[in-house]
Amino acid sequence: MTEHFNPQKVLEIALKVKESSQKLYQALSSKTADSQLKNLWDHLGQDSEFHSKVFKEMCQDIESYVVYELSAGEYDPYLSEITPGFRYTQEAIGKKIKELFVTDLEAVEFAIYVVIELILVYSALKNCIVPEKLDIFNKIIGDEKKHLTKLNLAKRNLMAKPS
Amino acid sequence: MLEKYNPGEILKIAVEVEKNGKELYALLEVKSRDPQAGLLWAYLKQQEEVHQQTFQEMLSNQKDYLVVEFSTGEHEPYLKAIASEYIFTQDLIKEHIGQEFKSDSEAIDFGISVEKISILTYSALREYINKNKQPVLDKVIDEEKNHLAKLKSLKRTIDHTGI
Repeated sequence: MTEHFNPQKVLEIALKVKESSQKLYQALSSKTADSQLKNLWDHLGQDSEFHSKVFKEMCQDIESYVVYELSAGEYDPYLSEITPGFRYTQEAIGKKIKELFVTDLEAVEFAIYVVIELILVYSALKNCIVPEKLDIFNKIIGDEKKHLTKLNLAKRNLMAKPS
Repeated sequence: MLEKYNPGEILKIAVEVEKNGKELYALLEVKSRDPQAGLLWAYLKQQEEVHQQTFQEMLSNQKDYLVVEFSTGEHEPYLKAIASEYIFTQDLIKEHIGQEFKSDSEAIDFGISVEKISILTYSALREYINKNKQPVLDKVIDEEKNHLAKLKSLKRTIDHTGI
């Protein structure tokens, strides 16, 4: 049976994902020998910290941010279907903070997987955000798209390096 | 080369991805051990056939579908990055056509990753589609979201039963 996920629960998971991501990026920054990659992890870590603050504010003042559900289960069923995977992403990040990665490429590919998940979930969640608060939410989606662009460039650079 | 990923090129890639996706799902339909999974692969195979035809129609009539002049802003690097990830996915689909998955669960995970990147690529491409033709692409995006939801639901069932 599909568990019913409302936007508040999704935002709570988003907050945890961002807090975990910040820790992961800090760990990756301290481990890498590649200075360009270090700058990228630092940048992603700073953005994750900012996103965490926004999600914390949203969770604490949920009624100002989320469109009120008129009847139970009215929120987009697609959001409910993709949210369990989002929770799995959070668990996977927690695991990776402990284990880390064998190569920089492996770390970048994992970060791409996380960012793809974030863009999908945030895009689905967008329909539940009150119009007056959409600017900050769109900024976060825009930041994630920029992260994907930077990570894809890093991935191609790493793949082009002779092994 | 990343530079070649203009909207027209992305349409060509989409035709290929949908065609290869159809071939992969046809193989999975035959190989699947779980009857529910077999039905889903058969359904996805049919859907990929329809999507392939849609993208072929868009590709053959690009002047009707693609916006001739668009502002090259922040969106363009993102489109190129997501298209690059989409190309990696196309290569992986080809690999998996020749190489069996160890389990239904692993095949479903791969199907989920294909649907995710397809949703993001088509959503990014939408910015370059003429407004009067956007409903054609919106239908494909909605169907891909539906596939993602079905695959995630089946994944939970299969992981629960341990098939």
